[in-house]
Amino acid sequence: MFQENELVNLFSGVAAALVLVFFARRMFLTSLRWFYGVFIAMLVAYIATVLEGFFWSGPLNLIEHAALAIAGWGFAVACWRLGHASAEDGRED
Amino acid sequence: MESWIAFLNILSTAGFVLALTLILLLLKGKLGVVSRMFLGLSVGLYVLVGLSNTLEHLEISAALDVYEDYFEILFLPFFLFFFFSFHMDQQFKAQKRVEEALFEQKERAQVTLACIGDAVIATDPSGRVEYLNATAEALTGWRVDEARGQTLGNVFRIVNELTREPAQDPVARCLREGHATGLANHTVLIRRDGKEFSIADSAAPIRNRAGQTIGVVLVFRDVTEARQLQRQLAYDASHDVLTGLVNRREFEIRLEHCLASAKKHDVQHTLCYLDLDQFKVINDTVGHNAGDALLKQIAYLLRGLFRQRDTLARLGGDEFGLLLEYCPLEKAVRAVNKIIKRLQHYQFVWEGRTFQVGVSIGLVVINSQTESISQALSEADVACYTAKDLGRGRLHIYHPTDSETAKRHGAILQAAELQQAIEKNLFQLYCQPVMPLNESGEHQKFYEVLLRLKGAEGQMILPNSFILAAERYGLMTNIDRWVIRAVLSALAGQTVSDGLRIFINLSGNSLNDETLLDYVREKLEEFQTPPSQLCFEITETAAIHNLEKAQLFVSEVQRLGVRVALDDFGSGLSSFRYLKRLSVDYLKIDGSFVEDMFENQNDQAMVAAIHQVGHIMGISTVAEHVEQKGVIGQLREMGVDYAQGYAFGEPLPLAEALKQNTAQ
Repeated sequence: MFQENELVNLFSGVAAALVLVFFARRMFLTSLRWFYGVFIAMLVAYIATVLEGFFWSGPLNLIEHAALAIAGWGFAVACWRLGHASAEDGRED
Repeated sequence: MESWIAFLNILSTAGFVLALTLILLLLKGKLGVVSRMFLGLSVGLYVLVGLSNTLEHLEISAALDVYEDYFEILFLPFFLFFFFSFHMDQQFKAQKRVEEALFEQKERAQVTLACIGDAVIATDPSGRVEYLNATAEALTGWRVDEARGQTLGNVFRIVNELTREPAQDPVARCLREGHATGLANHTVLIRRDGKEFSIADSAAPIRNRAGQTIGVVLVFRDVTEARQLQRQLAYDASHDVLTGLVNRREFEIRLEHCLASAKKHDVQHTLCYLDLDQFKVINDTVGHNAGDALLKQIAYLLRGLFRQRDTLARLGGDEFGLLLEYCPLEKAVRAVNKIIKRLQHYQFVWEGRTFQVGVSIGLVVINSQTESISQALSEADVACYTAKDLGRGRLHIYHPTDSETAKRHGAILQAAELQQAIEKNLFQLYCQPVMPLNESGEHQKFYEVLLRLKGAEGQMILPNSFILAAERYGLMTNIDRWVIRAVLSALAGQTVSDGLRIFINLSGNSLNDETLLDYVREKLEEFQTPPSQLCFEITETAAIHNLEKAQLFVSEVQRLGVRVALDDFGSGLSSFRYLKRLSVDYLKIDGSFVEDMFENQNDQAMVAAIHQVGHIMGISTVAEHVEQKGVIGQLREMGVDYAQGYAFGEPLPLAEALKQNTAQ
């Protein structure tokens, strides 16, 4: 079975995804692409966490941790890129 | 499976740790404080999650496991906050960049406006001043802080420089018409302290994005110097430099206006042609400076004698034109007589010498019957010419039926015909033999060339019918050149007998022609004629009038190998002193002494004296106008070298004479 916090995470993740999709066109996207990727990986991890309570617990747990690992390194790459981006890169596309 | 999960845990934790490290070290200054904080917190939370999982898997500690759920739940809001704060950050930065760019542009525009040479005034839509640049401040005398809010008329006072009426407000006009406008010519800006500047300007509307006029920008510049220069150039183009009077071009323009008004309104004007008497004498005897001074004084004297609307002009040389507008003949005659009287009482003094100067005036009425200005000028010239011939210092009114006038007019018409005759080769050359009177000259064949003009009906016109017109209208040099060319051309290719020499008469004008010598050189070369076959005759009077030039001409021509004869000797001042200065080859004794020497002993003595002096000076003598056989004997007895005249036969065409002398 799933835990309550996992559901909260999933719902807030989906809500956040909707908010981001809604505002994405207005936002400065260039430097944030990697962060979007990270966010998607996190969302995958949340979904996998919830689903593992119902079926394929082993593989979905593996997917959850793999997604988190991707998110972790994705964060590192995103921060590295942001750190080396020029001021111009922050502008709206 | 468990080991894989443990590995992935460690891997993700390492990634989050690395990310957190980068946030702390690398993103300082790259991200805003708030964005960095939220990003750090969200990543930090997952570092803790990873750490908790790792510690749990390794069974080291489960202390953090209690908080793991909170860490995970808190991650998302922090991450979202990061997104939004980053977005705000970027927007703030972009706005700041736009503001900086705007400020930079404004600064650039203001510095440009301050530095440009043109004056700029900007107004609001109601025409109140908002801005002046430094040049505008200097030209208007208003500082920008004083002028701001003032109406344009207060700051920018402009008038028409000719009428002194206020000029049209360019800003008001621009606002009314809604497009860029220029200022009328002759606009003068009056500065606050009263100083005036000629200006040229333009006004253009300033519009906002919606196309509404939000003000006007007025650009103007000081053109005082340019306008002064323009005025000076216009003055120079219409005035005579020496006398300051109106020149011929401007005079003709005014005459044209008078003619137009005469035709349109049937009014009457008067045109006078003034020619100074004795001017040439003064010019020749005391020099051109004296002549110039005389012209200036005459211009000054005459200036005060007419109304403001009348025009006195220098038409060239010593000729003046006077245009009396709306002036009937009687009134014009009174005015002109006043000039004659004034000049009769005037004496020109130069370097202690006093000269009497007079003026001959020709007058013609300009009315609706006058056809053209050239006709009017020609009639006035003819009338002036007539006045001169009738005794100088007088007025002659042109009337087409007047016989004197008609005679002179004929001469002027001839001038045009003469020009055509030169162009169409209508002149014919005849020649009269110059016969040797002593045995030593028997082998010599001399001829004097005589000029004839072929009339419209084929008749031969003698020179005394056209020389007067040719001299007056400056055609003599052209005729002389025509004769030289024609003689050389006739001689070219002919194998004439040795001792042939052609005497060619040159006018006084040709002596003044500095290019004649080059012309002679060029033609001698062109036709390959031996120079010794030519002899130029210059009259005594012409030589004395231009003694220095005559001396130079004689020596230069002789250097070429051409001979020179002094013609009509005895008719002028007959000073033997001149013979010393002019080393001529032949002395031609004036025909007036020779003609009557058979009966008149005085003439006989004169001829003998001239011949004797000539001989002593080594100059061969020629007696002209020998018409009686008896005279030939007398001349031979005296020892005169040559003689010419009808006693030796009629003149014959040059070609025929050359044919007779062709070497066998």
